[in-house]
Amino acid sequence: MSISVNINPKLASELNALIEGKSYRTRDEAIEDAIRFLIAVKGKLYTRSEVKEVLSKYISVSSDTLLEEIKEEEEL
Amino acid sequence: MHFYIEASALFRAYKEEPGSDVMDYLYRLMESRIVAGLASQLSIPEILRGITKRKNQGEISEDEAQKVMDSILLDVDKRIANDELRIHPVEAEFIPLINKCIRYHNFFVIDAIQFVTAYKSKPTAFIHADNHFSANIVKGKMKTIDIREKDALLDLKKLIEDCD
Repeated sequence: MSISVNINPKLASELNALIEGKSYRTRDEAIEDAIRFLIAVKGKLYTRSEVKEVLSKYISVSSDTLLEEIKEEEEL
Repeated sequence: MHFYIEASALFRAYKEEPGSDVMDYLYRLMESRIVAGLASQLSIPEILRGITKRKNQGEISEDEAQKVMDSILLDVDKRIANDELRIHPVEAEFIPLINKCIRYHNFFVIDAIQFVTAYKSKPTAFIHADNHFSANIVKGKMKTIDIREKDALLDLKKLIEDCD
């Protein structure tokens, strides 16, 4: 599936390349992905190392404790 | 070579903790197409739920949490698009084995799904950071690496060398 939005052709081509090959059940899903890509291409999202910095700054517990809490929450 | 990355290990690719160095190494190998990463379709939702729970508890703001989750989803999507990371669905044929893991080995539902999905994908190794997967039932079925252990990086490097 590809998308059609009013942006410059080079960027549209990059977006289509990113979502090409993925299967979407609905057009909304594809558009949601495309918007996320678009925001990222424009530099608004974090890189993986920035994500690490942000999560380490704000989330105090370890990821295994966190995932364990979720499993226990689902047991309730 | 393909490595099954359980949610607890995958999370450490996005949060700096013991074992993150192993995930960074594995990601570099995936980016170089030396190995492929495999993950359950439920791993990303597990990570998103973890962040959302902390957002609900006020540790991270709504905007920051949403931005982080979008960033993780984009990073994963790019890896899937590049065929570095392959997402495996929970197949109907897995259910009897998942049920057995729950009934006879006291697995949590999500752990049983992760274990069976990994087992069925016949990975070179099962990469995790969760004590539940140190059980003999898991170790007896496939090679496992707990990325929190001090020799995990060496173990992974040796395994890759041996497979070459």
